[in-house]
Amino acid sequence: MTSSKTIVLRSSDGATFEVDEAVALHSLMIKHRIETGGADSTTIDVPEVTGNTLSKVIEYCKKHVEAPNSDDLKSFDTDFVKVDQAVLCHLAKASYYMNIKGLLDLSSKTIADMFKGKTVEQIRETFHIKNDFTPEEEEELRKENSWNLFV
Amino acid sequence: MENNYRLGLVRRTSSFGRKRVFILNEFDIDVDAISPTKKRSIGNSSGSERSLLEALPQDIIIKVLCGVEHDDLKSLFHVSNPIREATIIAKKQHFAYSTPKKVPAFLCSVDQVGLDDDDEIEAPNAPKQSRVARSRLDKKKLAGLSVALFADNEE
Repeated sequence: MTSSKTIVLRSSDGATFEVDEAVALHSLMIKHRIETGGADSTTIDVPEVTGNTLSKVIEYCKKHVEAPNSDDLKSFDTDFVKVDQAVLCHLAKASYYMNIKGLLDLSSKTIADMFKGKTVEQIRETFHIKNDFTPEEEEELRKENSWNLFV
Repeated sequence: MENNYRLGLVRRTSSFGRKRVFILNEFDIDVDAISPTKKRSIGNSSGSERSLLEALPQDIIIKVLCGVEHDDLKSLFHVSNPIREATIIAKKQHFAYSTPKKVPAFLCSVDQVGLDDDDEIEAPNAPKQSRVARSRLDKKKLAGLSVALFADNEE
């Protein structure tokens, strides 16, 4: 895969990104599309991902494909996910659909770390989650036993 | 304002307070019709920003939760219905494949007794069962298994 062939990726909102094929192949979804799509697969639609997110995904893939052994890869990853929860969720979703394991692991773990030590209310606030339990359900849930019921 | 929810079937051994579990789709359900301004439309900005986390495919939420420590899982259990659902599944997956770092909440007194019994009568060449697998087994089944093993060894 040393050709200088480029692939165009098109996001849900019509933004297009020209990337080296090697970079695009970091997404197993795209790899599959290319392999099964024949010679005409130079433009690939990624309808599950918006342009903003796709741009970031490509940035991740570029770094990991072009400099996989670099010393600063770890710090790149750390800085890469210093974004708000909304962007993280978009990244997780994009990496899921595009089948980019490294990015999915990274974004998932980062979200998981955001829960650390937070109270229920703090979690709701950070992620803008609405409490959809009825007062009755909340009361039941508060009982210590309810947690153990699902073991 | 129509309610936009569906009943989902979930595999579980016990039902929670004999209540049906509502699996939310990506829209809020206004069961209590709390506020007329809180519509299902994503475009509505007067309500809270849509929870992107809950709108993620459940596979992702579960994957996220598998990376969460036990204490935080307990908090997540109380956050909302969709998160609770995913927490339950994640917990089952998590404990099926790995030994939890913090276990006390999951071993009730019955399990503790079961574990002790096993240690006492464990056959010398019996493969070691993981603590997790053991704790999930019914005490009676375990006793039955152990008896069968011994019957083979003694013969």
